[in-house]
Parts: sequence; structure tokens; C-alpha cells
Amino acid sequence: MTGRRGSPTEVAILLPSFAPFDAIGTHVVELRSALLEAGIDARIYADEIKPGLEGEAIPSRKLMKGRRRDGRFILYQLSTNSNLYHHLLQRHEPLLVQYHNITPRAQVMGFDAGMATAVAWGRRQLEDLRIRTRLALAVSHYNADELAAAEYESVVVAPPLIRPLHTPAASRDYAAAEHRLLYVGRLAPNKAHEDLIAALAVYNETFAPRATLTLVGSTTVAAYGEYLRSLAQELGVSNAVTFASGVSQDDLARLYAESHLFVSASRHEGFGFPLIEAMRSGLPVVAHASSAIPETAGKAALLTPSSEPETLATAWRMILAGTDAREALVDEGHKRAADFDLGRSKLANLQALANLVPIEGVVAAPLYYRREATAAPGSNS
Amino acid sequence: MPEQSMHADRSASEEFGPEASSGRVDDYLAAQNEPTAQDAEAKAYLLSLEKRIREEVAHMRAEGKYPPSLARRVRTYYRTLLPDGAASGQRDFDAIFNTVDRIAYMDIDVPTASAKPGVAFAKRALRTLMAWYLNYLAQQFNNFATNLVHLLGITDARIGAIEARMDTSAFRATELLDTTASVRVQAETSAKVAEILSEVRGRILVAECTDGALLERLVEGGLNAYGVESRPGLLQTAESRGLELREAGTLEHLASVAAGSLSALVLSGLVDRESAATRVAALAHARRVLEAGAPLVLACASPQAFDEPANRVEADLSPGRPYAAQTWEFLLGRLGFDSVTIESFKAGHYLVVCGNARRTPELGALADNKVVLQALEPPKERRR
Repeated sequence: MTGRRGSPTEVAILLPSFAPFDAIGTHVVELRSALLEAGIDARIYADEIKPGLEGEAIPSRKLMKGRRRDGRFILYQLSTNSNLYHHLLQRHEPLLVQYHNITPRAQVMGFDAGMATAVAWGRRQLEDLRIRTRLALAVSHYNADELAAAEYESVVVAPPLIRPLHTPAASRDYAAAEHRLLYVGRLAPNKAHEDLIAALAVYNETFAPRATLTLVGSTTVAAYGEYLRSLAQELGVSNAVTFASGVSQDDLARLYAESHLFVSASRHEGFGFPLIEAMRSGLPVVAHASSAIPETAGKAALLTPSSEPETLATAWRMILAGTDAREALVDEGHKRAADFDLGRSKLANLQALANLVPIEGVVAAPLYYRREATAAPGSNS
Repeated sequence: MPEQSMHADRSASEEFGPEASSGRVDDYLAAQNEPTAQDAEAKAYLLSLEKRIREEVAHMRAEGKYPPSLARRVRTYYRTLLPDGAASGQRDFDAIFNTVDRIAYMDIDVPTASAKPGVAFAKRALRTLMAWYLNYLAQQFNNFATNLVHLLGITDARIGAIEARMDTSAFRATELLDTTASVRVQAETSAKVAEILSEVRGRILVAECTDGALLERLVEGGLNAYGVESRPGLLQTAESRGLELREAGTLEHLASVAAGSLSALVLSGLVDRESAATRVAALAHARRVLEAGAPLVLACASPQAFDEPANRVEADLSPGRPYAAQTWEFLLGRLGFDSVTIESFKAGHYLVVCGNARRTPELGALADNKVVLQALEPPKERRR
């Protein structure tokens, strides 16, 4: 699928890396489909296209080397640093940025200086791109605040597009001899897996039945992965902790269905889409109330004021042992997940884009922030 | 009541949020996006959750379900397993310094290999043509980097010397003792302390709590009391009594307690052997953490008690000496406590009991003590 030919308006969705089952990869595929359904010619361009997705996206060099086309808008997905940035500054098409957040440098500095440099460069690109950007989309108000702080001209909020998993019927027995905890997120220091492992050690020393913890996510910082494994070993919970990477969508759906509790101690999230996936699966959620997580979870998660082991273990216990609290959380979770229903989210994204892109029949969403015009030096105004 | 964080060394990294926005952006967002009823409801919900979880954690601690030894074990592995460079200790500094030392050099020998025909030749030609220019830039950078690394090394050595001196002065020789005068003072005065505090309905802290005997008596009397102790041996004995405990130094713990959150405070140990500055700082913290009118009890040894053979080793190893009761009376009055009473016991032990009057203290000669002034200042509101 390469787009609807002949439409006077084209949206070129541009991203550094296009990967299967990746949150941003899924988002752009669904966004393209929403634009096509709205009669807009939409194509995905990527600097790096992972194997198996060659037919889904066009190499970005074809866009960057091509001539300017009237009616084309470039929608850049900003979540990391990229060399695409240099090209974007030179393009003449109206530029839109959709911001998924970039981890602050200090959160990864101690484990990977190279990654720290990369994310710092990404944040610098975030600041510099505002000069060329006509409209910035943020996937959360948390991200919108960062865009406003970077003085983007116009900022609008639209949620990420989260495709439903084919989750099998859940079979959770909370009277089981063992409780299964699940966290989904790459192994990076800002995700604070170590707090989950420490809390598991405290939980298993204090409560019965014991719990196991499955950590789904690829290792992006090797030293951090080694630290987590050593910590689990020394705290005596290595048999209760499973590290799972390269998990297929079906296996992930099964894990959501079979787990008893979704847990998060993450210190930095621009949105936190696994929380919504867990809620869709009827899995109760306990999460550390950091960054965008309170906004994403709403009333559908037990949010903890800190990620200290005793606090997390206590909160887990409150849900695993408290039937009423758990059922209330699951009910709220279904309601919250409905707020991010794919159809609704697609419409919200179209409405956000309609602030700049002419989309027939779509009313523009109100802006979250508009930079006030600054009087030129020496002017009378 | 906020407890001391296990992640205290991470406090700076906990505060990542949006980059600090300008006041203009803040004002705009406040005006354009006024809090809705939904926002207020969400905030109230978060606060209610926080309260529920804190209460539950406190309840668990009160039942002895989260013993300090467990927290200590977790905390130890948290820190010791971190790779060099991931925390802020000397090992981390050394690891990063070595990396900086290795990479603080600009190499002008640009790689020229290429799989494409002719490209390697072009690169080599460019390198040759630009060598004079790159060399000029590299020399300046490398001179600067070399001096900067040298400067870092000197700074590290000088700070290291200060730290070594501080470590020597901060060494608590009394930590080596299995028992101290405060254990005996608490045993002697526990019945009276329990009687004085019997009507207290709120939270009571006993610091240091030694082997937990006094604390146990208070808890058995139906009081909501917990203890603080830093010596592993005594803490283990107290832990075996199933009490609610924190492993921390008295001053360190008091600094982490929320203002006005205690209904009574019992101080011992520190009041006999610490320096004058530490004792005054503890009293200033007591002023802050106690409710208005709440009792402060000092369980003290007298100077004569410290001369007894049982206390001689402690007396020699301590940075300070016990005060006479009149000295406490003087200090407490200056710091804004009132209704000071003194009761003596055998073996030279005595109790000083007073109320947190909440009147303006006459700091006088204490006015240049920054620790005292900071403890007495109301906590500052954090900007959004």
C-alpha cells in the first residue's frame, strides 16, 4: 500500500526507523490508513526499514532527493536523534512534528555514554526543529508541555494509535499458588526494572503466595541488562524473574491474558502504551506515578507515589489480595482503554492534523498551545 | 510522613520532567488550560491513592512485616551491583575520569577506506589537502583537553584530601560499642516515659531506640510508636521484638520527617555523646517535626554517669560529653520549647520533658548555625 494517487494533498509520514510491532511503527501504519480513508495521499518514508516491512515504507532518501511537491506536508515522527533532521531543515514543504518524547540524557548516562549523547542530540534536534515546524502534535499533554517549553509555534494533542492485540480469553485465578506479574518495555535505565526486581524480592519475602515477574522487552543498554540479572541473582529471585525479548504479538497477547497484574516502575514515559494494552486485556495495573503515566492511566491504575520496594510491594498486594479493589480497577481499565479505541484515536489524529492539513469533512481540534507573536524590535506594537 | 528514600543518591534524576519552561509559557498554559473539574477529580484521586498506600506501608511496618534488615539487604545490592560510572561514588568518578582521559584527544588521521571505487583515493586526497587546517584545530583542542583533564585530576586529588579529613572527623567510634549508656538510661526511665506519653494519640518516635525495650513498652501500652537505630547489633535485637523500625542515624532520620507530623519525640544517646552543634540541630529538627504543644522527652545520662566504669569507654570515644540538666533547660528555652521539667533517677540518669511551644525562638548566639536556621525555616513551595 503506497497511498491514494491523484489527491492534491499528500502527507509524507517520515520516521528514522520503521520496525514491526514497534509502538511508533504501529502508530504510523494506522495513521497512514486513517489519512487514506480520509482521502489524503499518505506514504511512510523511513531512513531504516527493518526486514519484512520493505513493501510498507519507502526509503527516506527518495523523499529527500526528490523535488518539492505542492500540496505535500511532511509529518516527522520525533522520538530519537536522526540524520533526517539535517534534510528536514532544508526542505520547503510545510513541516509537522509528532512528538513521542525523548528520554532525558541523565537517565541513561551512567550506563551508556553513547546513548546519552544520542538522546541529548535528539533533544537538541527537538529544539532546533521548531524553527521549521508549522504544527506540532504531542501524544500526551506531558509531551505537549515539553513542546510548549521549546517554544513550538502551535501544539495540539492527539493520542498514539494503539492497535488491539488478539488477546485470548483471560483465565486468571487469583487463588492460584503463584501470581504472575508482567511488565512490557525495553531494558533501558529509565524504565527502572531494578525497582521491580527489588520489590519482587520484598514481596516474596513478605507475602504468600509468591509472585513471578516477566519482563518483556529488548535489551537496549547491555550493561543495564547485566545489572538487572545480577540484582535478581543476589536478591534470590532469579528463578522468579524471566527476561523475554523478541516476543511475537501472539505471545505478548497470551502473556497479557495469563498474567495477574501489570506492574511498572518506569521513571520516564511520554505516554506508556503497554498500560493501555494491559487494560484492554482486563489486566489490573499498578504503576509508579511518574512523567506521563498518571495522565495515560487516569483512574484505571493504582498509582504509587514512589518506586521504593516496600511501596511497590504493598501496592501489588493491595490489588492481588483485594478482590473489590482489583475488580474496580479492571472495570475502570476497560473504560480507560475505550478512550484510546483505535477509531476514536484515528479521528483525534485527523482533527489534530486538520489544523494545518486540509482534510475534507474534518473539524480541526483546538490547539493546546499557540506561541504569541513577538513584536519585532523597534516596532510600535 | 516521608521516609528517607532508598534512592537518595538518585534524587536529582527523579526530577526529570519537561524541560523547565519559561514563565511566559507557564502563564499561557495556565490561562488557556484552566483546571477542569476532571483535572481536580484526577488530582484528588491521586492524592487519595497516595494516602492509602502510605497508610498501608506504615501499617505493614508497624506489624514488623518490612524489617530494616530486608531493606538493608536490598539497598546494598542496589548499590554494589551497579556498574562503575552509574552512581556517584569514587569508583564511578575514577571510571568516568579514565574514559575522559582516554577520549579527550582529537585524531586528525581520518579513516579513508571505502568499498566504492575511487572514493578512498578522493578521501585520502582531501585528508592531505586539509591536514594543515585539521592539524591547527586539533592542536588547539588537544591542548585545551589535556589541561582540562589535568585540572580535573588536581580537583579530584584536592577534594579527596578534604573527604579523607571529613571521613576521619565523621568516624563514629561509639558505633563499635555493643551497648551504650543510652541502653541503661532507657531501661531505668522506661516506666516514667510510658507514663508521660500514655495520653498521646498520634505518632511517637524513639531515637535512638537501642535494643527496643522502651519502644516495646510504649507499643504494649497501645501507643503508635516507632524507633530509629543505626547500630546493626542493637537493631537486630529490636527487630526480634517485632517492632516498627528504621535503620538510620537520628539526625538523618529527623531531617526526612515531615513538619508537624509527630505527636511526641523521645531522644536519647545523641543527647549524651554528640557534639554541641549536632545536639542543637536535633532540637531544631524536633521543633519542626513536632505538633504544636507536643512533648519532647530527653532521656539523658549526667556527666557523673559518664564517669562510671561501665561508661568509661563510651565517654572516651564520644565527641561530646553529657550535659547537666541546667544546660538542657537553657538550650530548650532558647529554641522555643516551654514547660521544662526535670526528673532524676538513680545512677545519674535523668529525664527532661518539655512542650513544643511554637513561639519564636530566641536564637541569639545560635543565629549563625545554618543547620539550625534551615531546620526552623518553613519548607519552601516547589515551583510547578
